[in-house]
This record gives sequence, structure tokens and C-alpha cells, in this order.
Amino acid sequence: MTSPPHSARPAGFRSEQSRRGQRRRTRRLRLSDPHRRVRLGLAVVLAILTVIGGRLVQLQGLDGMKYAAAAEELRLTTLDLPAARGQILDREGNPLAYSVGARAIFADPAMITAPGRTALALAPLLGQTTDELLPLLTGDGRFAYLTRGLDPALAQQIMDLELAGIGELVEQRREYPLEWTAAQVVGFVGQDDKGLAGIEQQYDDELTGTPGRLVYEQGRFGLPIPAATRDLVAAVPGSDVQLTLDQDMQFQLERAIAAANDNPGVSTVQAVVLEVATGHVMAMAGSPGYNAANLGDTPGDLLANPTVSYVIEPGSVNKMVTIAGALEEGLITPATPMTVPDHLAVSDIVINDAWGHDPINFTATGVIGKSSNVGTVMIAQQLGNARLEKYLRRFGLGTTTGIELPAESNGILAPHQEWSGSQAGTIPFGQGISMTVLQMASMYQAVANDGVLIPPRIVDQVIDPDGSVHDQPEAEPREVLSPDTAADLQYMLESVTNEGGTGTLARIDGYRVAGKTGTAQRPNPECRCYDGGGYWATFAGFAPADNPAYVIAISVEQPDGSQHGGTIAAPVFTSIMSFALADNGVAPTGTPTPEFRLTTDGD
Amino acid sequence: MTALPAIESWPRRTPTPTRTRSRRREPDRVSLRRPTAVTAPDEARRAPFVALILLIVGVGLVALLVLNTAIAADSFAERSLTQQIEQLTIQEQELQQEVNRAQAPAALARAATEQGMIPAGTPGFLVVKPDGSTQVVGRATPAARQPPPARTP
Repeated sequence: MTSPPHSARPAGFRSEQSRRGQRRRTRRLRLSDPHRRVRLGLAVVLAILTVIGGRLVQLQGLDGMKYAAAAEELRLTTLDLPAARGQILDREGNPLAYSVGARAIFADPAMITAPGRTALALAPLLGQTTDELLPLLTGDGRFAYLTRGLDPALAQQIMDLELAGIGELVEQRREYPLEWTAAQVVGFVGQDDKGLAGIEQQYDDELTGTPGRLVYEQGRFGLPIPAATRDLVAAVPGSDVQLTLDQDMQFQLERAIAAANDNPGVSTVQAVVLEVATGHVMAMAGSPGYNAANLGDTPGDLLANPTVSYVIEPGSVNKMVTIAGALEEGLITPATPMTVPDHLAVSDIVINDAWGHDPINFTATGVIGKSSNVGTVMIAQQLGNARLEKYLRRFGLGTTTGIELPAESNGILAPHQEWSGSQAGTIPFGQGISMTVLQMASMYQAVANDGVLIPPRIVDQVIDPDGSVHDQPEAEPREVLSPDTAADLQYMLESVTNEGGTGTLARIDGYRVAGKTGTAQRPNPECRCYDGGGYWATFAGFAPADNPAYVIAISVEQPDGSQHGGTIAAPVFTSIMSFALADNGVAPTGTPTPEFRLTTDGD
Repeated sequence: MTALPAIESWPRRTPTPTRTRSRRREPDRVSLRRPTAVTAPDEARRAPFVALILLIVGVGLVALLVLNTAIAADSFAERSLTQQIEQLTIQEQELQQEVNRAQAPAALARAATEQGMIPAGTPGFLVVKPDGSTQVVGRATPAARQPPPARTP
């Protein structure tokens, strides 16, 4: 900073003379031409401005996007908002499965300086031992789950410890409040919340929501910057699935089959309850079942729904189809007399009745009431194999029912051209043919519903998060029998539970009950023959007999037992049916029980 | 709107006559200093304007400060309220789970058994006919006093 000598003097003291003298001196020094000075200054300023401007263009224009993105990266935080999985509800809206907010606790081993102390601090809160935790805390990677599905309150306690290298993640946990009840129907999800069985699997797309995210600018302490950009894509929860199942009836059914399963020699029991008028499944289960809230302790082969995936030979329950075909074709009436011996040679085998007897003068009703194999085969021989197969298929055997559950079995029904001679002799009374317990229930639903079969369905409606309801398509009803045939059959099946019938234990005080007992030989898986395979005891029936509300099918598998359907399956029917009738307020019809003539003796 | 013409006319009318008068009547050196003297009232008039601007700037600054503080305070309040919502949501969720577990049929059956209750037998029904008379259908049976199966299905 060079300053002219006069500049020190206050401007007010400057005289006219001194100003003139200075001007003279500067002129003498030829310091500057003001124009040149201005131009020079301008050039310097412009040069500086050019540099600054150029840099500005470079930063803002050329590399601008990159820097803006980098800055945003530092400020912007994305928070994933998990979408709640839809609920599974019973017919009254009680939750069978729902999701709750939970936390996963993870470790970043690279950040953990004192694994031992961290493990000690975590062990009591996580309910794990330090030996279990240490390998996770000292691993090579940078991420290891310590626990998943933890209660948020507990996770908060862990985060309050402020342990280095320990973090939490927000996630959903699936809750099954009923535990054992309806577990096989509802199914379960894997750790990634994907349905792996039952309705959870079948309706996975509907139940799964769309996750959202919140993008916000974050300040120094992780607080969102107020009034800054905030981009919220709300999570859309999954839809709810409402079943036709009744949780109380389901519980009673499971309790009844568990009690039956306690009988000596019994390995498994399956049962299905259908509403006659709609074909809706009210309850279905197999025993042993599993606790959906504790899958870890369940053997893998139990994690299924045996009522739709396990096939059995139905035994005498199948006689109903033979009789139905003969009635429909006009070959017999309930009163048709027939003399039945206790054995009959068919092809290479001899068909025996379950008890030895001299020839009996049965009516057709007596054949089913007393469950005579020989009588049934005699009627089947009139009907012929082709027509028998036609009626078996009409009742839905050999194909899935189309119920909204995964892994449904077709059952086994060979075309009649492929029936061996012995099969032709045994299929009429339910050996050499396989079906699921659901198919068995569906067959009897057709009889109870005056000949109209409505394939069973278990999903009532899907409810979107906005409240809109999508009724699930009802199955197409189909007429299997004429109403007259169905009425005759209802009468004949009622004889089973009455005086002289095989299913008197299926009676319910005050109600009229119709049904059919069955006892089938069970193939021995070791020799692929019937020797030593044990039995299936079955029962299928409906009540009230003259105005049916519910139909129930039961199978009791006894590898080491030989009880009959009438003794071991019929009481299970009574136990479930009496609850179903009482719980749903189905009053007895009050009509008198008709007289059943099982034999023509005494005419 | 009505004040607009008055403001426009103000600067033109007052100074112009003064300047023309001084130039015409006193064309000496002393009079040359007159225009500077004339500007004094101009400065005096500008003073309230400057004060107004300063006032606006001052008030603006203070308002900005207050607003900023308020926003920051609100964001803290928002955070603590959000945390409160989270806590309450968790609490609600836990209570709901408790209710759901307690109303499961198996839990109800267990609780009923503990209270000494037993499963009901077959009920009878009273059918009320149109004429008002009643008929009993079914057979009401008393519940059997036997412990229900303790085993969970």
C-alpha cells in the first residue's frame, strides 16, 4: 500500500495551493493515465471474474450433478417401511394369524472390540448362552443376525446398552394366537415372511403387502431437517383372508381327534366338518398336529394338512356310492329283498362278510345298515364296473376338490378297464380305491344336500386394506343324484345309527343322525400287502338326518389296532357333531324316526 | 391506490421552483452554495424512509430467528411425539397380543376348567309356535361331571 505523502493530512486542511502542487508533481512522475488505470483494473477484475466464473461453470454446470448427488447422499436417509402382512381370520373375524412389529438384532463383528463383554451383556436379554453368541460376535463377515422377531420393548433395552457393533432392524413377526388350533389349515411363513404352507402359501400374493419408504434429509444428530424435502411412499399392507372355518368348532374337532388318537394302536386321526348347504369347510384337522407358534420342535413330516394330502382306503363308507348308483339306475329300492350268503367268490378271491352267518333275507336297506360286503358286491354286479366308476367319479373321487389349499391329493381311482378281477370285487365296499378325508366328506355332502354336490371351499373372502371385500368364487354345484335317490339314500343311511345298525354309537340324544361306518384293511408299507398293515376305521355322516346342517367324515388309522368304524370313529362323530349342532343353534327337527326294515323276515 | 398520484407529483413540484429561483436571482458564488443548502430538506425527508427500511430489516431478522427457533423446537417436539407414538403402538400391540392369546379357544377352555366349569351336554330347544304355545324338542342332558381331556390337541 503505497500512499501519496499528502494523504496523511486531513482533507479539510488541504489548500488550493497544495492541491495544485500535487497535481504538478504527479504529472511530473507520469504515474498513470487514468484511462489506462481503469482499463488495467478492469482487465484484472475481469480476469479474476473469468477464473471465478469458469470455476463456477465447472462446479455447477459440468460436475454439478456429481457434487449435488454426493451432497444429497450425505444428507438424505432412506428408511424402509415394511408392509404389514395381511391377517388370516376365521368366519367370525377372530384372528388366526397376524403380524406384529418386531426387531432383528444383528452384530457387525468388525466393530466389536470386546466380544466377551458384549456377549455377557447380551446373553440374558437374548436368552442365549455366551458360547452361542461368541462365534457370531467374532465371525469374519460384517453382518450376523443374533436374533429375529424380538419384541420391540426388549430390543429397546438392548439398544439402550449402546454396545458397539450391535444394531437393530425393523421387521415383522407372524403371530399364531391359537397355537395348535387350525395350524394345519393356516400354515406358516418362513423367516422372510413368505408363506410356506396352508393358506399362508396359497394366498401369499394377497397377504403380502407392498413395502414403502421414507426419504428425508438428516441433520447433525440424525434428526430430520425441518421443512426439507421429505419423500414418503407409504407401505401398503397386505389383504386379509377370511376363512369359512369356525375356531370353536375347529378346537372341539381337534380335541376329539386328539382323544381318539390316544387309543391304543392308533397312529393318526383325520376329520372334516362341512356345512351341507354351502360345502364350506367349518373345521378340518389331522392328529397329531403341530403348534404353529413353535415350529422348531416339530418333525418336518407333520407340517402338512393330512385331510387334503393323505389318502386312505375308505372301506364300507364307500358302499354308499354303490347303493346310490343302483338306486339312481332303478336297479333297487330301499325295500328290494335279497338273499345274502356270508361269502361270495369273485374272480380269484372270496369276498367275506365281517361276521359269519347263514344266508340272510336282507332288504337293500339291511345291506347298508348291517354293512354286508357280499350284499354290496351283489348289487355292484348288477350295476357293472363302468357305471360304478361313473358314479365314483360323479362323487368327485380321483380328482382334487379344488379347495384353496396346497398339496391336495387326487386320491387313487383307476379306470374300470384297468380294474383287476379282485378290485372289481372290492371297490364296491371301499378297498382298492383311495381318497382323502375331505373327498369322503364331500361325497356325503352331496347325499345330505339332496343330491347336489358343492365342492368344498375354505376361503370366504379377501378383504383389501381399503376395506373392499372380494368374495371368493363359489364352487360350481353339480347334481350327482336325483332328489328322490338322495332321499332314499338318506333313509337307508339313517338305518345305520338305529336299532340293528353298525353305527349306533353315532347317535346324538334328541337328533336323527344318518351315516355309514367303515373298516378298511390298511396296506403294510413293508410288504406292500394287507398282511399286518392294520386298519382304517372310518365314519361319514350328517345330522339332522331329515334336514342336514353339517356333514362330518372321520378316519382313524390303526397300524396296530383292529377296532371298527362303529366303535372308534362313530364316537368321534358324536362328539364333534353334538357340539356343532348345539353351538350353532341347530334344533332337532322333532320328526319321528321312520321304521327301518333290515330283513324281509316276518313278512 | 388513491395515494399514488400524490407521491408521483411530490418530487417534481417542490425542488424545481427552488432551483430555478436561485439560479435566476442570485447568480454569484455565494448563491452557488445554495443548491447544497436546498438538499438538506431532501435528506431530512429520506431519514424516515431509511428508518423504515432498517425497521423492516430488523423485524425481519428477529422474525426469522423466532421462526427458525420455533421450527427447531417443533422438530424436537415432533421427534419426542413420534417416539411416544412408537412406544404406545408397541404397548397396544403387546396388549392386543395378550387379548388374542387369552381368547383362543384352547386358552378359554383351560381358564373355564380352572374355574371348575365343565363342557355342556346336549341342549334342549324350546320352539315357540305362531299361536304362542311352546314345544320342547331335543333332550336336554346334564353335563357329565368328568374332567375334560387335559392334553392339548
